[in-house]
Amino acid sequence: MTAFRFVHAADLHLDTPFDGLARLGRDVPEKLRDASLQAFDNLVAETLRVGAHALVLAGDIYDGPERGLRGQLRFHAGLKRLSEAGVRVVMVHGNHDPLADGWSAIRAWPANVTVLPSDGVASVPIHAEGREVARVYGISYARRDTTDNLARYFPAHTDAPFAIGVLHANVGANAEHAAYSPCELSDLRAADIDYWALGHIHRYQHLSEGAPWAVYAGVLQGRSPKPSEQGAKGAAVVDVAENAVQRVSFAPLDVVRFAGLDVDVAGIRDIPELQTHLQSAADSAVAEAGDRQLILRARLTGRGPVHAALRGDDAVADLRAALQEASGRVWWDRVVDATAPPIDPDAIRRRGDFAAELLGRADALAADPDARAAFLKRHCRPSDRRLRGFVEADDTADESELLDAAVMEALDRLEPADES
Amino acid sequence: MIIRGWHIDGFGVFRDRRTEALGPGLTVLYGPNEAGKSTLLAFIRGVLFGFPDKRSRGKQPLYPPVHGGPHGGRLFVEHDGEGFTIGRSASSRKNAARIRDADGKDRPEGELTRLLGGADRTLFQNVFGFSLWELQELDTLTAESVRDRIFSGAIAGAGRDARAAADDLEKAARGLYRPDGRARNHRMNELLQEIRDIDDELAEARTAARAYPEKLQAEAEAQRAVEELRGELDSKRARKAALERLLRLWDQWCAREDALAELETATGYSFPRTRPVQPDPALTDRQRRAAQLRESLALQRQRLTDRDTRADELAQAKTSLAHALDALGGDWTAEGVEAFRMTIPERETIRAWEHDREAARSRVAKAEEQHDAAAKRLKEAQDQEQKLQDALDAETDPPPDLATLRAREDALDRLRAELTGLESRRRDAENKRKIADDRGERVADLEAQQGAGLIAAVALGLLALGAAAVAGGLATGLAALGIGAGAVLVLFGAALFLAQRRGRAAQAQRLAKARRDRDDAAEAADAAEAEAARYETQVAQSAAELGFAAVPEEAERVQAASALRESLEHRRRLDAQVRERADAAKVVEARQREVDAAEKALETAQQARDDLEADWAAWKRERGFPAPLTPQGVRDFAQQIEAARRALSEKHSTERDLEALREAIAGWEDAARGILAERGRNTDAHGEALIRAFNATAEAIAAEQDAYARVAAAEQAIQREAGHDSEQAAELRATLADGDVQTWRAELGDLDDRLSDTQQRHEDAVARHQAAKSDREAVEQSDRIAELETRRNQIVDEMGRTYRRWQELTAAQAMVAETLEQFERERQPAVFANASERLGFFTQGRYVQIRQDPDGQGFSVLDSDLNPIAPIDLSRGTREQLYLAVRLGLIEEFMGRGTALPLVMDEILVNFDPERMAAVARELGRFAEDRQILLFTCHPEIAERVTAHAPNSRALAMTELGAEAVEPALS
Repeated sequence: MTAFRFVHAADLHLDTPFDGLARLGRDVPEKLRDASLQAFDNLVAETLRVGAHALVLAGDIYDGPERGLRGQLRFHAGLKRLSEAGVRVVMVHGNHDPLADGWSAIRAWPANVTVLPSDGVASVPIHAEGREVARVYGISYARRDTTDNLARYFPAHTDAPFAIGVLHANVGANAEHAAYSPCELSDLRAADIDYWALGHIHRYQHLSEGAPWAVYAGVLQGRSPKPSEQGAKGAAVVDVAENAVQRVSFAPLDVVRFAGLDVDVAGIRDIPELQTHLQSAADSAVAEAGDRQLILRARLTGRGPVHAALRGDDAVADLRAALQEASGRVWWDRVVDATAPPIDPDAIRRRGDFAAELLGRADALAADPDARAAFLKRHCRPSDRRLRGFVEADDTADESELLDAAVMEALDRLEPADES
Repeated sequence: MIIRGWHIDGFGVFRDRRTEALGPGLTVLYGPNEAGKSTLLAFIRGVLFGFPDKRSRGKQPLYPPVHGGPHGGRLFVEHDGEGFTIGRSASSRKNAARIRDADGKDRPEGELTRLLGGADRTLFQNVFGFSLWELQELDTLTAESVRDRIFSGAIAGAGRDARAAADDLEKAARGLYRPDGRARNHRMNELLQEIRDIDDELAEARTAARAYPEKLQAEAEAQRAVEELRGELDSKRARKAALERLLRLWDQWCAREDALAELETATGYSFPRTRPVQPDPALTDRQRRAAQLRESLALQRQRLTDRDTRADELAQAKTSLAHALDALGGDWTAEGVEAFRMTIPERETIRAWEHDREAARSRVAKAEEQHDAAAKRLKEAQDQEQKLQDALDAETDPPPDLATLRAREDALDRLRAELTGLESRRRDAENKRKIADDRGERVADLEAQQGAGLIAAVALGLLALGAAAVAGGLATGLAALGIGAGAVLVLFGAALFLAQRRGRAAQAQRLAKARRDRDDAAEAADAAEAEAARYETQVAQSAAELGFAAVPEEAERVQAASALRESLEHRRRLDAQVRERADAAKVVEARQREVDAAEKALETAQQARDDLEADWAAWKRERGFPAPLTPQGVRDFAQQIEAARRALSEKHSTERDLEALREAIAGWEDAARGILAERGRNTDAHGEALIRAFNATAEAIAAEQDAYARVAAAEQAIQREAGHDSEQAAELRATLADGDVQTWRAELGDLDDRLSDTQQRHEDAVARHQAAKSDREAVEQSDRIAELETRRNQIVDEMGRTYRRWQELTAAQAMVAETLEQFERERQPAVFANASERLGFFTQGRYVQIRQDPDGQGFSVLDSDLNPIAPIDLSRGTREQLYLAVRLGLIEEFMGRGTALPLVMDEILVNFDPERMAAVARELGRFAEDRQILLFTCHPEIAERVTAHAPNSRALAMTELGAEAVEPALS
């Protein structure tokens, strides 16, 4: 049996905009604009570098129906390079770039490139040294809202020497991602597939290692400071021999990397000390990112005397600017102040004064979700059609967290400054 | 805090008014209208909380000082048993209070806040210090600051103002977002606008991206149009180039035609027009040679001229040579002259002869001069010697020789020294003799002292007297006295005796020494006297030797010395004359030797000169020069020979030039005749005639050659235009041979117009293609969509954060506001309970309860039948009693929270009936038990009634509130 190697990538989201970033300086946006395209170039280069026989792309090549022309052309150019080098490329479309939606500036794919259809699972053989060494099975999304369990369409029996299943799906109902083509690991095991090249979940992970292998390659380039988008992003390099996976290794290919810092401000006296603390905390992320542009988001939590300083006008913005000034390749996206004043709610409650009354009121709302929901709806949920689509996520955010933040906001203004 | 008194510097009708008569409890201050009761209330408010500034003019009275004085004053207050003075100047721009303690020390301004229990102007004015008019207003009790302090007292006591917090939160929230769609001035609206702008740009960019296939199509079509037009353009340009080529060749083609016609005429040949014509090689060679000869035509003419000139010059040279030979004499021929060489060494030899001869003559002349000079010097020496000899011969009495004179001089010197020594020795002998005499006298004195014994006798006497005294004492019984005196005398006598014995021994010793000294001195004197005598003898001898009869005196010795010095001088002069004469004799001998040497040198020089002249004559003879010639004459003669030789050389040179010219002329003429012969014209002509004949033939040859050259140039142009392609060249020749140049020019002009049009259309097409290409590339390379989407996402993110922040602020504001409302609602009853009880007391039970309105913004009363009645529906007096009751309730509430201020009321009881007034007075009296109440009224009966019903109250007439103040104003 001839050994062969293929690369598995997914969720390229080419020329996709970054999400959830604060307003950035001049240089970073340009890098961000090109990051997904450069990451794809890295994928092509890595595929050629490792001498892979095939590249398997598990959906979401583009970010939406408005497939960027620049992304399409860059994608076509990359595939052309691979094709000219004799690399077989097989891909499916996912929920972000279903076949039926969007438009294509690409009239014809290069030779050696196959886009699997959406009307049923199709297969493409992979050859090495003149012999078929594997067969790739897969199915594309016809439409975005594909909620069928597509895994069930994969063959239960094949005569392929090594079967690769390419599927864009939410395996195991991952709550962080939309439930497109939901299925379970058992569904994957039911098919006669040796390696499931999965897409849709943005964090690299092995759902199953052997009989069959099920691997999420993750997003090729992190796109926001969300936890699932943080850390190294890239593709899986799979070595097959004797009709079995010998090794699956992760190749980091991202250009810009996101990282998050959670810092408890307890014990931190002032902003200079906090800045030192943050810079120190950022060092490991910087080292891990290597030469890449690193985008850091820090979340400050806990109670401490520095809370009062952070409440000052532009204090957090100034802190971020100071961190940015002291940093090199690191871009400090945002410093989120989630600290609380160093107050003792129980002591306030015992005072029996206005603040105690306010805390009692908050406690009552916290204990009664309906009352809390009614309170928030009455005061904080305007039916403003201008905001529709922009703040829905905030409106569905954790209400108790919102209430806690509001109470702290009120206490910040009610409690004497010298106590905080 | 209570008010103990005040000092009014100037306020309304008051000036320098002072009182310290106030105290705790209820005090009724009464006085007629315009006594200043309202003024006092305003003064108290002003000092405590600040005077209204001029901007309030028209809204409330400012009470400027009518009678002068600084606008303001002081209050004397007591707080917790401690006295303070609070001063304030209404005219001060800062309008700040000045607080001093009982010791007169300044306290910080914050101290006033403490004294006032945190109350502000509004609270004081509405609750503690009010007039009848203010009592009647419900609004004064529902002002926010009052409500907050009543109902939210816990906040006021513990920290920040809850209402301010709510306002702050609301303001912050409104800055972020306002649900009201018409509101514009908030952050969310700005972000929404940014989103709209970006969406517009995105739509535009996406439309452009979607048109990519069309852009590809447009670019391809533009490309095709460019290519078609380029083909058309190339075709037209080719035709234009062909026409331009024909037109460029046309003139040369015509010139070729003319040249060929000329050749045909000249040679008789026939030349085909459409074929290339090659030049005649023989003609070319002939043309080359003729051209060369023509190039030397001027030279030939010059040679002819030079030949004649040289012939004349040769004749002149021959004449000059003959004259030169004649000048040298008959012996000199042309050959001799030609052979003659006056070399440079010979010229130097002649110069040497000249020099040597001159030198020989000079040496002879010099030897003659030296001989004459030596003879002259010999004569002078001989004269000098004779003169000196004559002087010596004239000396008749020469002094003795110098040695004799010097010996006498020495003897005189010795005599003078000996005389000096003699004198010295005489004085020495005399001195020593005197010393010997003195010492003899000394010895005589000592010897005389040797015989004296007085002291010994006295001593012995005393001894005897002492012994007697002892014996006497013993005999008389006065033993003690006698023995004592006797013993003293004995002892004294013994002492004297012993002393005398020691003096005698010393005297003997001194005498012996004196005698020795005397003898030594006598001996020395004798010796000195003997030496003086001996010296005197020697001096006499010396004087005799010098010829003196006796020892000479000083004058005689000086005279002898003077004569000796004159003899010495005479002797020296005479000796010098002898030496000078001897020296002169030696000089004569030397001069004679010089004369002898000069004679010999003269003879030698004359012989040398004669020998040289003989050699010079031999040298001239040897070279053929005439004997009489001097060296300069020889040189002049040689120059004549040189002139003859140059004339001979000139003659030879002219002969050679003439020959060369004749040869060159013959050569040129032979060549010219050859070319003429080749053209069939044999001639024997020479000189200018031959030149003219040759010229005509050469021009004909050149004309033929020029015609061939023009044909060749035209051919070269054809070849060049044909790209050196023989077929194209033949085609060009054929076209040109049949050509119609007018037609070509017309076609070219027309073609230019059409080409310009095609060119323009092509450029337009290229521009369209470039634009289409740029358009396509711009879309391909544009990252505008990515940039806009990134920006849009950032704005959306900021909107989310802004919205979230707005939610937090709004929720916080709502919680504070609702809690505040709840506070008001739930805490009011305590105030109203107190007020209800007092209202019932004031109205003798007519009204029993005060109840808060459901909205919390007002209240009503319940009568005894529990019917609710709005305050507006009550009688004026009852309504005032209601508000007074509420105020007293509030004051009690404030007291419980640390705000204890005096209650100052201005004429509030005028609308009360006597019973209710009495009831109110009683309550005020009770209320004032632990507080201070100042009640102003202009009605004496009210004052009486209040004091009658209020225990421990007192009434003070306004006129009793202090006379004119003497304390200076507070600066």
